[in-house]
Amino acid sequence: MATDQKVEQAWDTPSHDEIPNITKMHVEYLEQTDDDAVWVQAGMHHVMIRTIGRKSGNVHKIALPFWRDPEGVRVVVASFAGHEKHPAWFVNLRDRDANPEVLVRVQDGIFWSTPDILEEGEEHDRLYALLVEDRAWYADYQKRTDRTIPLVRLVESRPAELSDWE
Amino acid sequence: MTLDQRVPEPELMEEPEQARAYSDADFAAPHQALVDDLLRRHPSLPERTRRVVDLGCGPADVTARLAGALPDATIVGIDAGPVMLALGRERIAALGLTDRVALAEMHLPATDAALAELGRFDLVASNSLLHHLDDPATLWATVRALAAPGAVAHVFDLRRPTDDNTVDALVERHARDEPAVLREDFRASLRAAYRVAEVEAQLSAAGLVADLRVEPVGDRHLVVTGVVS
Repeated sequence: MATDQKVEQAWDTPSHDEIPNITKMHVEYLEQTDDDAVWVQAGMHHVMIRTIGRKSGNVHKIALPFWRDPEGVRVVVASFAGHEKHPAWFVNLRDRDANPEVLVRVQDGIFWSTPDILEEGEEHDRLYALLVEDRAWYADYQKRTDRTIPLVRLVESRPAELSDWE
Repeated sequence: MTLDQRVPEPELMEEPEQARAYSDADFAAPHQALVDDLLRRHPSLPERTRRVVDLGCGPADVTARLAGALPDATIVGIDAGPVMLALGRERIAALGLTDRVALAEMHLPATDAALAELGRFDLVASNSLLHHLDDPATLWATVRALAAPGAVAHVFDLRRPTDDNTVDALVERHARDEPAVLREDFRASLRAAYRVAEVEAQLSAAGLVADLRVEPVGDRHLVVTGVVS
């Protein structure tokens, strides 16, 4: 599984306006099934993350492709397809007062995570370089923006139950 | 140095000083957390568990905690090291658990006859054994041989960090105040541990990939857990 995570981009990058809607639909499908057909899109396995809005206090759910680092920890990329601003999910997830932990749903399970947030530095750069070896478009996304695209390692802190998701 | 390849360590912890330091170390918090974590993942265990085997039980601290959490179960702890087992027997006796907990010396891979003599179990548990074995397939074959249909298998171990800098940081974070012999054990174990993808390949080869799943946990562990069909 994690031995080959190489994916060639065979799709058009969606516009920043399209991304929230695509995400919303994907979350709705993912909540209904454990099928590969929904959880593996464009050759990439996905996770859902549930965050709490730092201002609204509302529950937000996002679907994202993940890549595994060499240890096997799932890593998601706050790229927003190279947008100049961080995606909203990342800004919420980074706020440890609103989100001391986040819920992570994977194809066959669910867990609480205290994410490892890598915004810059040696470890970020090393992992980003490995990520780009497998998924070249993330180099292109980085070129489009002045911010450093953060990486988030979603390591389990404790088990969760499906009933925690709602 | 990057740790793309693991650096194996000896199978047995049999230096008396090493075994005693390990047995005396304060693993209360992580070992209890391991048992609590097992029960959160499989909440019906206390009710339905009658027979448990703890593979690589060492000085039987986790074994004793399993006995505490599973009041209707009898538990067999097996280990290949007589020094560790002697320390384990002292512990089990001191805790008054000899009626429910037995420790046996057995080297894995064991013969089919030896495994058959142990019988089948509702829970096959193991902590920090996988990375000690010469051949990891041994553990998965043993799990298969000892698990009753529908048994829970729960294997907990370290996971190998990306490089030696991360190893140093983990030793500093978690074993800073421990004796040197334990710090060295911890370092060697981290470098000998497996990664998620490696364990998934082992499960595939053992025909267990549909039953058990591997999850990286916290900054240095992985858990392999599920119900064996």
